[in-house]
Amino acid sequence: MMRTLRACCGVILTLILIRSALAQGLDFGPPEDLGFSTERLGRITDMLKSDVDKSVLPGATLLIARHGRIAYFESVGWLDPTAKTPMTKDAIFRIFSMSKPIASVAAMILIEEGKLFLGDPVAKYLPQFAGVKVAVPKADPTSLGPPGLDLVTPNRAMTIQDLMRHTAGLTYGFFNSPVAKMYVESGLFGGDFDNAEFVNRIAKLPLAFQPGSSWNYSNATDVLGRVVEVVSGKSLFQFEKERILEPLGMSDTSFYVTEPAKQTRIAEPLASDSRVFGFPLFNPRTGGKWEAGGQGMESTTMDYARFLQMLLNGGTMDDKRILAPATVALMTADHLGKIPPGPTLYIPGPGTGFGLGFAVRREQGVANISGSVGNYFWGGAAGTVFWNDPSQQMLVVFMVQAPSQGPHYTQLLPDMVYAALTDPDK
Amino acid sequence: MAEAARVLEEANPEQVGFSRDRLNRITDELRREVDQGLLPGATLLIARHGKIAYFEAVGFRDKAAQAPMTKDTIFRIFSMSKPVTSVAAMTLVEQGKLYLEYPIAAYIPQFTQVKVAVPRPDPSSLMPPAFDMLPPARPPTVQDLLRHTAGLTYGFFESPVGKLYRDANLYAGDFTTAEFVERLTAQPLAYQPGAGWNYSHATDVLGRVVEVASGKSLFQWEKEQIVDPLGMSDTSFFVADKAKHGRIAEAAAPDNQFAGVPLYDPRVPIKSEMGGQGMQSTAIDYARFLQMLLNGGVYNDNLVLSPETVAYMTADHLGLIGPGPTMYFPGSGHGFGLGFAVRRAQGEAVHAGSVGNFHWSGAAGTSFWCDPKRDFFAVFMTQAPMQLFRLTSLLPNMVYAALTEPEK
Repeated sequence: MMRTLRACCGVILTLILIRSALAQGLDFGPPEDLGFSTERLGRITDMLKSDVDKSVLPGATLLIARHGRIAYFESVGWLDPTAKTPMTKDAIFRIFSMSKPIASVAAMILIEEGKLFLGDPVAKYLPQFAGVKVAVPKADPTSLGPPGLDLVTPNRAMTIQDLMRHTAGLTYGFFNSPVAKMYVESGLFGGDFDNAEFVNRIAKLPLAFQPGSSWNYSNATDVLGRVVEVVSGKSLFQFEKERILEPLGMSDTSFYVTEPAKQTRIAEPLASDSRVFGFPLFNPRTGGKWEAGGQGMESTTMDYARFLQMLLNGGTMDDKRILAPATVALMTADHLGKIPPGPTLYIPGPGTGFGLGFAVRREQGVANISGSVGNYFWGGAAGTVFWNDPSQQMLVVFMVQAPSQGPHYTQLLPDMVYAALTDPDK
Repeated sequence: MAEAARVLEEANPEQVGFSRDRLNRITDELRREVDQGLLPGATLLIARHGKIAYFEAVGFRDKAAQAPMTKDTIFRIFSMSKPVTSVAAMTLVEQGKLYLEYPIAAYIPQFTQVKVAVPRPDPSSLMPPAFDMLPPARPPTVQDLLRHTAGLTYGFFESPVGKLYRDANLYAGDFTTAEFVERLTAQPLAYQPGAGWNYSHATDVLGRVVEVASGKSLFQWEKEQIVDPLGMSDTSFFVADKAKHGRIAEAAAPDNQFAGVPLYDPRVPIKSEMGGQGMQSTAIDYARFLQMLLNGGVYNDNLVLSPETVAYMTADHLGLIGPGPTMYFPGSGHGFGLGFAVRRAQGEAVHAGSVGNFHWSGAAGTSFWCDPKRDFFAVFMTQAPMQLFRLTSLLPNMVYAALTEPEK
């Protein structure tokens, strides 16, 4: 009996595996067939609606898929809370740092083609970085002011791998540190500039940390975007379009939304929660030159879900091969090893390392959210969140424009989504 | 046993999980590198589940003579000799004639008096530090030789003991392996045994240990135990057979030197059989050797090692022993087994690959890896020393990119 049961489970499992491997798009499946409790999924909808009612969220979409099928896809609240237009499933969101995984996949495509190497110094592709120095606080016990800085030669050159795992020594202007202050004061984002100009500007500033010494969130993926341009000979978006977005049918994913027909689909924040690090959310309707690999994209729930399903499928979707399975495995493995968190906020969180473009869960415990070992995830500054769970063949995309709510939903969503996965062996 | 019957034969790449289009990208890249003058020529063989999915020869065997590369070309494999010597040692371990935990001195008595050169700190001196010659903290063992933790070094490293090696003229004249080991043991160790991983002449010494333990020359023992049973008929320390001389690959100037010395002429007979660097081989010969390892020690019903011994060799043997001050060739995310670098982590490494992969390469640009998880290997042959480091990332990245159906 046990053996028959096992054989049956084996057949079902094989069927499921075949189904996910082929993954002809994302269709809907009954939640229970995919291991979810409809009732418990309903609790998530209730929570989202209640947060809209309380004006914590303007509106949101949430998509959960498992084994290549959508178990849950809801939109709640307002697309534009001021105009009182309702949220739709095809709403377009500023995804900020959720641009990073896309730029990282673009870089891995070039690595697969033998045109780019993780171990190479960044300066091989961007010579501006050849003379970059590291700013080290000058110890001066007699001074009461902030420490001065010594500019020292890096212990080793920053590499492409460093850019992808945020160990290059770069930082962000919004951190409270002497080099972050230099980022802000140097007018890094002044005027209408492109990636080439951005790299010229940032390479003139010192590194905040020794390359490889620690994980520090940074503009590294913006620099990586320029590397992709130099190596591919195309603009970052052109390359991403040809190699990722068009093959995956991500037709609503771009750096600017200039098409008037799409502009009415752009989600807007509540007036009370419309700023990221003091700046109002940008207007993606106005075209610009900068294609910021680390922060510049807009996308929809379904577009991003297709991107995530491609990764869960080992690099392929609808018979379109983006990456090979081993490359996805390399990207979604921990690359920090013994490299510790730096002095800035360790956004991956406890129990979690960092791969090539994603945080990667190292341990079942220690982390303060529910999830599986091997989960990889990231979020965007306007509150968007995603994760892939390879062991459960599950993806989750949450879209919202509510910057202050990102950290809260990063915890709430895994806790409530895993709470609804009542039959994980299905 | 099915594994024993696995003899390399050609197959469609799709049958064994590879994308033909993506394999073709590798051929295109290699041809481009030949056109650009990065490589004179090369052969690349990829086999999975015992079947050859890809075997191509590109460019020139001898660019100066415009002789095209052929699949049966013979290459100087330098440090890819080390895994062959290491397997030779393990055959003796299996036969109870050699013990990994024994001091090297049990087989080579000169090691009894070898001291460790420890720099003497002298802040007042502007000169390079002098040395204290101290007895080793523990005697270096046969296992240390196999995993490069014996404290030995190479003369091409910029270090004080590296300089002593250079000044000692280790390679002068036509020397025997025994004489080489005598010259080497007249020098101090550069590091304490077991203190760190440092690439070194250890495998040359191991070759001599094999000679002492087997009572035969290294090549004679390898021939009986490995080379003949596996049909590696083009693998040797020099190419004695004149009929084969036309098959020897040549490097193209200016990339025809290693550590400032032009690549040697393997047609010239020599006395030494240097287990760490001296061999010539072909892609298919080396492929048979690798398939034997992937098969768990057997090929074409010829048993070379037991599966347990292969598993033991290809496990990490460094544990908490860290990289020493010299370049850590295994690469980040890797440890070292008995004769191979062994991948410890899925990430951290700078190229694609599976946990448990074992790999090594040769100074003239050759490289290989075995992936036990995915049951495949790749062997790449060229004579272009300057290209080695780039190629050891490029090849795994592009080969794994072509393995689109790893579950097949």
